[in-house]
This record gives sequence, structure tokens and C-alpha cells, in this order.
Amino acid sequence: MLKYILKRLLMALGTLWVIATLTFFLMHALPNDPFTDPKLKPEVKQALRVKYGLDKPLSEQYIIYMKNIAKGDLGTSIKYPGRSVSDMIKQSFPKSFALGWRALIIAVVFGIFFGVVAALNHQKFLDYLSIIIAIIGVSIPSIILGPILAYLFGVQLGWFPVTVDKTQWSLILPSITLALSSLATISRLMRTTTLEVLGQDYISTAKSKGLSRYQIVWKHVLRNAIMPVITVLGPLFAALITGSIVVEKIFAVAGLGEYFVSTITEQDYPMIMGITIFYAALIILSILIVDIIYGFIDPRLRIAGKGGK
Amino acid sequence: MTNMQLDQSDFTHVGKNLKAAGEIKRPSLSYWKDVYRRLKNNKVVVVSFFILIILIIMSIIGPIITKSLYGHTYEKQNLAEQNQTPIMSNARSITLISNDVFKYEEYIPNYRKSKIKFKNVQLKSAGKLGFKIGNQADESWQGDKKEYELVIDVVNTDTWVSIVDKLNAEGERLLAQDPDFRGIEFAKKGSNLIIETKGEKWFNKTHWFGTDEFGRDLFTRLWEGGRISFFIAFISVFVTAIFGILYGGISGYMGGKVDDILMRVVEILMTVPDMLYTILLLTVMDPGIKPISIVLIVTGWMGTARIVRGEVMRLKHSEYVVAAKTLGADSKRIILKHLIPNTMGPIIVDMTMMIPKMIFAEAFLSFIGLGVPVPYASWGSLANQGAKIFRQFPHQLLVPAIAISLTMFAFNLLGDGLRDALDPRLRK
Amino acid sequence: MKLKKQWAMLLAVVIVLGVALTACGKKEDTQTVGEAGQQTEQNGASDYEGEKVLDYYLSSEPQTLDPQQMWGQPDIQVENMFMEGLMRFGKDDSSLEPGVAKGYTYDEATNTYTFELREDAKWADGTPVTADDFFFAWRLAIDTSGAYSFLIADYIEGAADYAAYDKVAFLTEKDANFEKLNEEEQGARIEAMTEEELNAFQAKKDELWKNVKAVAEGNTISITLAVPAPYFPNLTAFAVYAPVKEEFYNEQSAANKYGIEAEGLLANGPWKVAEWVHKDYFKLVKNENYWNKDNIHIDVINMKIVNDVETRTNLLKTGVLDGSAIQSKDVPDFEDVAILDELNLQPMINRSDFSIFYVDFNHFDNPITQNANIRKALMYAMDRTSFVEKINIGDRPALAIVPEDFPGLEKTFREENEMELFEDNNKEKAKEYLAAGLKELGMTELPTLDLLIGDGDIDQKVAEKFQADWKEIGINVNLVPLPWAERLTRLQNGDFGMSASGWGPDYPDAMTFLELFESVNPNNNGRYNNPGYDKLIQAAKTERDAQTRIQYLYEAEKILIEDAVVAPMYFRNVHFTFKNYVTGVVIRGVGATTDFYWADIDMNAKNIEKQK
Repeated sequence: MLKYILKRLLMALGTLWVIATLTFFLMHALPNDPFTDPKLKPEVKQALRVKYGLDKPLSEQYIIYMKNIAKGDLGTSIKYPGRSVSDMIKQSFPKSFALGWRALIIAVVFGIFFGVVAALNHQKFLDYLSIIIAIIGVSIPSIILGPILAYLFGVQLGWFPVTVDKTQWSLILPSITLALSSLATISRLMRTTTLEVLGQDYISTAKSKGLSRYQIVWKHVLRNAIMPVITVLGPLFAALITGSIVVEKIFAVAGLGEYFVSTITEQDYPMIMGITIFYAALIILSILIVDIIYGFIDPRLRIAGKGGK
Repeated sequence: MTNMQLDQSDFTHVGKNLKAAGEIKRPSLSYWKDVYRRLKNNKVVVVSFFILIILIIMSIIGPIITKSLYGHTYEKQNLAEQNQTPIMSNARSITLISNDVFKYEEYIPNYRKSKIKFKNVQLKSAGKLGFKIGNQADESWQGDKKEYELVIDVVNTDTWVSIVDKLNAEGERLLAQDPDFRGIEFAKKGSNLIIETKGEKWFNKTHWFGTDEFGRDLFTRLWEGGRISFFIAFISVFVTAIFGILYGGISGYMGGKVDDILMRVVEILMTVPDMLYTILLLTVMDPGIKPISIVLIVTGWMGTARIVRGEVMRLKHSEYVVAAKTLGADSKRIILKHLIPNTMGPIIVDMTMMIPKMIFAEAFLSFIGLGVPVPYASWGSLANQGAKIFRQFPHQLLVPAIAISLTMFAFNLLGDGLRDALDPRLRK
Repeated sequence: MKLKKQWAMLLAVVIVLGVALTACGKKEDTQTVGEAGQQTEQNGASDYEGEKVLDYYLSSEPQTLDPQQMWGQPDIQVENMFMEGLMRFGKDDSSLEPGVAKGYTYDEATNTYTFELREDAKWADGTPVTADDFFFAWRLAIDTSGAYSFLIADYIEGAADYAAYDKVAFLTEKDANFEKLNEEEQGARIEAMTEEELNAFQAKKDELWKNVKAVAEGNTISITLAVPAPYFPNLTAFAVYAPVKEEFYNEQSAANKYGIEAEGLLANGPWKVAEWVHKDYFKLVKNENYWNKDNIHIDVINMKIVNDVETRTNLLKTGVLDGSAIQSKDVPDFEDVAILDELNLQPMINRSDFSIFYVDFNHFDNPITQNANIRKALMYAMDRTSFVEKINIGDRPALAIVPEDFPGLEKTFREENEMELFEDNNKEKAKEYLAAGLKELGMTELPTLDLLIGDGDIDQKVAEKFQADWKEIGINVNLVPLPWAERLTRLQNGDFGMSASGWGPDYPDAMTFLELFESVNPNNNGRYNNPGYDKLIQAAKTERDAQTRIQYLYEAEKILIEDAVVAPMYFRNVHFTFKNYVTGVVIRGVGATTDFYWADIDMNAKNIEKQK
């Protein structure tokens, strides 16, 4: 197992390198440049280009950049002059993360619950109810859900603060907003896999053995049906903790998502590169962790995995 | 009933009929026929299917209907008819402009402010109490640009009864002066002051679903938006699915080195944040439907590929595939008869979930200003616009939101039905 | 703590009373106004001893708080709170308040301004603010090519020469071959400069700096201007002119904190930055070393960073903020006294923010928009009035270039040079111009024109409105929303017909708008090139007589309209509202838009409301 993890980590480093290279050249392929403020005079812009090394040939810039990354230096931002990219990530990521893990828990707990309930009541009222909830989850994107929740529960009813402050209470609305679409995805997936498991022979065996419904669901159905859900958890987790620009904007969260979008549109190369690499590392790591967990839970995969992975 | 007599002569011996026993009474069902039969018997699926058909047909003919009846197009503006609702009322709005007289705990206006309520009012002091009735900005409702001022002086000896009387008398006077005023009624019920203007209500015959901020017909824009949203969603889901199935299928079936390489590529592409591709692609192409579809395909196919691969990997080692192999089935037969039908479930669930995702990915692009360029509409951009003014004009959010939700429900239920029908294990 | 309890008690009594009063509603109907008035009368609020805390917002994370580098609105907003230049922005758009300088005198003969520094002006660390702090800052601004350093380089005599002399100039002087090198080789050569060369370069720079006509004498600073600029004292209130303490700068720059973390900010203004949590909030506290601290009433200013306008409105409505700007679609809501009363807000402040939005035409690479008649057709077809009445409620139609209320010579510029320079929404005239234009172009129908627009919400609305207007006279316009960086590339390549642009003033003089269309101006997006116009602007820039100078400006503006150089769309208005317990807030159009210098807050009233 340890050898497997080491191998995966090594591969992850390779992947990161490919991504960094890819992003670097993609970004520089654009015909724009970051110093577009109309109030900057041309000579000032030229001076800035020199300052950030953008006047050098691309290959040279690439080598310099890669050297710096190897040293753990992601450079300084262009949009926020002087500020180190790694510091900015360090400051804002925890805020995205605080929302992200809460959202993940909401999504997983309720998603699994709704999915299983739906499957156990296949084509009955509860099934349709959970479909309705799931569909509302996917059909109302956070762009619409966020403002409505903020207005309804924040302004009209006054139950929650309308923006994130230092209290735990204030994290509830944005976490729900963030969680809903993942919740729906998980519940749909869970419903499908549970139905599949319910049709398996070993469930019939368990039934004929006289196990109670509760025991069957707990011991056999859930454990088997949850497998595919675990595979999507990696990317899902990464997507949730990297922050969502929509939720961050609506609830005034000082997270990473908004930085990312605004720096892409403003071509702040060091920031884009820094955040992309950071995101990529997060995603790779969470997939790796999920794979390891998966390997522990599902013994079949360990055997099959030798050929596939 | 009780004294029914059964006699042996009532029965005859038909003897053994081996031929009949060997006959197949029910027509033999191929796999797909069986799927169809089961789909047909599932009422939910049938209803969903018809809802989808109706939505699609309306998207095609909706704009044509209103164009031929009223000459509406998705881009034709008429600011004099802005923000109309399906049910219209020409009651004028009430705005408090000066108040020395009373305090209150809460102020509750209705959407159009034609009825307002002050909760728990308390007298404060003598002075002016004034309202503005009507608003020239509401031209599209009240039918004119008129505004009226209703002001009374309250003195120390006044009571609530006399104040309300004074207000009503002033209202009567304004109505007598100009019948266009349409009347107003002040009432104090318990501790609440309730004010309501009078007017007629009618169904909006020219704009069935109302209008937007620019006075454009929402009915027309909804179906015009449907065209674009369906087009974008279908095209991108279709291409995504094809590509994802091929890629994932190959990767999963071949396994080994090929799988390793293909999956590494997917992993790399998936780890680069979508936003990066999106903005890069949209900056090199002119905004429109084509780049949006491409963006959605580029950012969407990896997920499908992974799911397909996972399924194929799982099934490849399942007993019946192994059994089929030992019985001498070739690759083609295994793929067509075993792998595809059995991976269909997750793929269909994935696809049905992807259509709403595509519709909303487009909405997200609108949110960051890179969606379908104005004045074109898509359901996503309509909902997005509506969400910005849902407090003032909820119908502008509700109309596209209902259309979207209906589509989602239909697709999801249809997908579920399909999944159940396709799954041989659920055969009854 | 004790105080809080007392308030809670009082509140409880009020609530009980309220409930008792409302419980007997019947009685109330026959109660007279006079009686009720007596009952509700309360004793005046007792004096408040604690800290006065104001809760406000900032529209986005400042990019930098280094005064010499900043250019964004939120940056300038904060800078005005913790820094102070020779002068401060006054209560209205053109007036000034004394800052580090007590005042100034002007010598017309030498075009010299003399500022008298006050002795009690101190940094937050207690050390005095000296003339050298200013000179260091100004030189720093030029050396580091700050965005607004041209406000120094273009005005102070000798500063332009200093700014122009860079390493390239140095090497060209030294080495005749240098000029022949290509850009890359030049760059390599600059990097390879020896220590000796660097020292020589530095010596030359020092020498040039000595020629800059900003001198300290005793406690005065005399600044001789290179050009006539009646508005120069206003410039000294801008961030780029703020002083910098050299020692602190060197120390914090080395730690990579200067201007980017709270520790890297040394205040000399009314407040100092106590906390700066990036993208989240600011906490400013009163600067005890500020010379005028006795007249600063607010002790603590909390500013939450909120990007989304809707969120800001929510915060205002839930009582988290003590005031906020109001977006256009909410203006009708906040005009309603009932809503203002319910939220305990003052009537809205409604004023111009001195921004104009207009359509730029391609004047160099597009035969259609190069045709004046076509441009006029487009300009006259636009219905600005209904746009500001129905879509962007509260803004003003732009029928000239310089915004309404912008200061002119004696009155506002608009009052002096006619309120409207052309007629809004004249479709007939537009059609005539279109016909004439088509004839000149030898076309029967105009091809579809591209209008580049921003990706913001309002950009799109504006464009949608005018697109419909243009269609009415038979011009089809295709809208191309693009992120700003991409749009600029297209503008530079001439890959456009029209582009929606906007401009806000850099200094309180109409020149800031009119010089935009000089052929050499980098922000002349359409590259309008009219030698007559250039001559007029140059004449205004060198004219010392204020009366003659402003006449040139009047004329220049008229040329822009007659030539339909751009098609003006609208002047933006801003709307603000504050809680009733906040007084004395100044909202202005140039510089820091919201100023709490004179503000006060009734904490008793605020606390009562908070407890509700």
C-alpha cells in the first residue's frame, strides 16, 4: 500500500508539472496583456512589464517560473502589486475551506439519506418527493438560490446574517447554497446504486435468511451502494472547497473563488498560475485520498486494481 | 352462492396437448421491445415525455404565434409597456411622502404598492401627512403618467377616526376632480392602518406572460430562449456523451497501459479549473452559441468518460461477462449485449443530470458576463435577469424558473424510467 | 457593561409600554393626537461616553494602499482616511481644507505656490511630518512609475526632465551604439550595467532631482509649476502627493509589507489602519497623533468588503451597515418615506459622480464610423431620456461631454457652456444624417456594425437600449460583450466599429475630459485626430489667463459634439443613504467619494436600534 501511495504521489508531481506548463503557455497564448488600465501611461506600462519580466522571451519566462515554483515561490501578483501569491492563497483558502467542508457534509449526509429513502420506496410517494427535492436542487443554481435565501432568511425573517461574519451561524446559508447541487447529484447517484444493489442476489439471500429490513439496509445495501458515491467525492470535495465565485460574492466571503475569476479576466499571470497549480494539487490530493479510502473499503478493487490502476 | 352445485359432467377431460404446451403464447420480446413496453406502462414516463414534447414544440412555435398575432419579437422593445405582469391592474401605487403624524412597527406593501399596510400604528404628533398616489415611472401599469398628491394637516385634537375620515374625504375630492384618479380607501383595522387604491384587474391579452424591463414580451422571449437553451443543451450533451462513452469505453475495456495513459490525460484536464478553459475559449471566439456549446463540451466530457470507464471496469470482471466469455462470446457481442446495456443506467442518469447542468452552466456564463450575448435570451439568462429583480417583479423569475424546473423534472423522471426499463434485473 | 444593562432596561420598559398601548387598540382610535404626543415624549438621550463606532463598507479589496501607486476608487477611499497631503478635499467638489499645510499663497509672476506646513502635523508614531517626507514621496512616485505620477511629473517644473531620464537615456548618452541595438539587446545591456555605471546614473538622477522646483524653506514648501494649473492646490490632496516617511518605507519595503498589510501603513491622517484582513474587512481607529483630532468624532470605522451591490442593500436593511450606496433599481424603493422611516434612514443623497459614458467610434480604421454623418445619425437616434427614466433610473442623459455639476470657472461647466449641446432622440434628424452618410459612402444600406461592450450588467442594458434605437432608423448593431483586457486589445488593433467607454475625472478641471480626445492621448480609443482640436487643447494647457483658457475649453467641447467624435450616452448619478443617527457625511465626485472627516454618530440612538 505504501509503495502504491508513493507511486501515486510521484505521479501527482508529474501531473502538476504538466498542468503548470499547460497553463503557462495557454495563458501566454492570449493576445492580451495584464496592464490594461486606461489610466496607465504607455511608458508606465512598459516599466511594469519589465518589472514582472514579461518583456523577456517566453521560454526564458517559463524557465524562471519553473525554477521559482521548485523553490516554492509562486511570485507576486500583478493586480495586487507587491502581494505574494502564496500569501494570498494562504489567507483566502481557509475561508473557502470553512464553507466547503460544511457544504460537503450537508451534501453527503442528506444526499445519501434522500437517495436511500427514494430507492427503498421505489416509485412511491417518498421516491417522488426525494426526486422533487433533488430536482429543485439542480434546477435552482446558486446564482438564483443564493439571493433568494439571503433575502428570505436574512432580510425578511432575520434568522441568519446576510453575509459571513465571525459567527458559525453566518456560515449556514452559504453552506446550504453551496451544497444543494452536490446534494442533488449525490442523492440521484445514491438512488441509482441502491436500486442496483437491491436487485442483487445477496440481498435476496439476506432476505430469505430472515434478516430484518433495517439490518439489510445497514449491513448490505448501504455498504455496497455507497461505493460509487465515494468515487465522486474526490472531485466533489475539491470543487466545494476551492470556493465558488457565486456564493463568495453573494455572501461576501473573502475566499479564493472570486480572486480566481477576477484575475483570469484581468490576466494576472502569477495569480492565475498560482491558483491553478494550487487547485490542481488539491484535486489530485483529494482524488488520491478517496482512492486510498476506496481501496480500504472495497476489497474487490484491490485485486482488480492491480490490472487497472 | 352457497348452494351452488358442481357436477362431474360439468368438466371434460381435454387430455395431454404437448403441442400446445410447447407453444410460446406470448410473442417473444427482444430486449428493446421489452424496454419500450415497460416505458409505455410507466405513467410517469409518459407524462414526462409529453411535457418535454410540449416544451420543445412550444419553443419552436411559441415565437411564431406571438409574432403573427401581435408582432412581438424577442428583441422588440417598448418601454411604455415595461415590467407588465400576466394579470394587470391599473390601481395606482401609494408612496408615503411626508409623515409627522404616526409611528409604526412595520411597513408592508404589496408588490405594486397599490395596497400598503402599516402595522401597530401609534399617533406621534400634529403636522402633515402626505401620500403620492401614482407614479409616472409606472406608466406601463396605470396607463398614463399622472401622479397625485394627497396631503392632509393633522391637528392636536384629531383622533384616528377623524384622521382616517379626513384622508378618505381628500381621496373623494381628488376623485371628483379627476376620474382618472380611480379612488383610494383608508381604513384602520385594529391597530393597523390599511390603504388601498382602486382599479380594474384584467388578463394581459397582448403579453400573456407579461414583459421584461425593456417592455419585451416574455412569452416570446421564453420560447425563443427555449430554442437556444435546448439547442445548447442537446448539442453539448450529445457530443459530450458520444465522446465520453467512446473514450471511457475504450479506456475501461482495454485496461492496462492504454487505460493508464487515457485516464492520466483526463485527470490532468480535470484538474485544470474549468474557468480557465472557459475564459480562454471565450476570449478567442466571438460571443455566441457556438463558443458556449464548445466550452460546455470541453469542460463536460471528462466526467462522462470517467463514469463510463468505471462502469465498464466493474462489469468487465462481473460473473456474467466472464461467463459469456467462457461460453465463447466475442468482444463485439460482449460490448453490445452485455457492457452497453448494463452501463446504460449510469450513463443515462448522467446525461439527464447533464442537461440541467448544461442549461445552468450557460446561466453561470451569463452571470460572469460571457453568456448568450444580449439581446438574445436563453432560459439561463432569463432566470439570471429575473433573479436580479425578483423582489420587485417576481414573475420575471418565475416564468423561466418554471420552464426550467419542468424540463428538469421531465428529464429526470424520464431518465429514471429509462434506467428502470433498461435494467434487466428490474424486469418483472 | 453597566451602560448596556441600563439600555436593556430602558428598552424593556419601552417594549412593555408599546405592548400595553397596542393592546388597547380600541381606546387608541378615540385618543387625540395631542394626548398621544405627550405619552410618547421621552427624555432626551443621556450623554454617551464610549467609543463611537461607524459600520460601513468598501466596494472591493484595495489593490494597494501605497499612496504613490494606487489608482482604484476603494484604495483612494481608504487612503483619504489614514493619510493627509498638503491639503485635504473639502466639503464640496472644488473646495479645499487645510491638511499638513495650514494654507498656501500663489505668486502669479513666477507661477509658484507656497504651502506653509503646520508644526503639529505628526505621523502616527509621533514623529513630525516634514517637507522631506513629501519630497521623498514625490520622487518615489516618479521612480516607481506610479499610475498617477504624471500628476507630479507633468506639473512641477523640472519633474518631467527627471522622469524622462531613465537608464535607456543614460546609456544612449554614454554609448552611441546603444540606440542601434534592438529591444532585447538593450534590455540585456541594461541588466548588465556595472556598479560604476549605476552609480553614475544615480548621480545624474540626483542632479536632475535638484532641478525640480519644489523647495523647502523653513516650514514652507514652494512649488513652481511648469504649466498654468489653477487647480494645482486640489492636486496636493490626491494620494500621489501624500508624504512618505523614508525610514518607515525602507523598513517595511524590505519586509515586503509596505502598502499591502496593516503594519506596512504609517498614518498621518485622522484615522489609522488597525486591522486589514484581506478581502474581508478593515478596522480603522482614530489617530491620537493627528493634529485635528479634537474635531474628529468617530473613534472606530469598521469597513466590510462587499463586492455585490445586492448584498450591500441586504446589509443596510438588516442594520449591519450605517449607510450605503443604493443601486439604480432600488432607487424607487428608497424614495419611499415609509421604507426610509422603517429602516431609520435619511433621505437619499443623489448626486453626479462626474462619470460620463459614451460610445467611442473608430476614427482610423473603419470607413463607416469615419463618416461624420453616420456618426451623427447614431448620436441623434439615441433616446437617452427614456433610458434614464425607465432603465437606469436616476442617471442623467448626456447631451454634452463634461458632466453636469462639474465645476467650471465660476459656476458649473454645464451652466457656462449650455446645458445641452445637441438634441436627444431626434430620429428624423438621424435619418437625414444616415441618408447623407450613405450617399457619401456610396451604399444603399449600412452593414451591421460591431459595438464592443463590457461584460457587466449595466453595460449590457445600455447597449440593448440603444441597439433598439439604432434599429429603428435602420442601423443594425451587433453587441459584442468582452472582458476589459480583451476589449482593449481589440481597440488597439482597430478591430471594432464602436465601443462603449466611460471616463471619470482625474482632477477637478474640465481638461481631464477634453484632453482625452487629443491625438496623442493614450486613452483616445477611437484615435480621433484633429490638428485644430489638438491646437486648442495645447493652447488651453499653456494659457495663464483663466478666462481665455476656459473659453478654449468651451470651444473644444463644442467641436467634439459638432464632429460627433463620440456619442454621449449618460452621466452617472450616485445615490447614498445613511442612518438617521449618522450626520455630516460628505459625498463627492472627485477623489475619495465618501468622507467621514466631519461626520458624527449618535451612539445612543445606534445602540437602541441595534438592540431591536
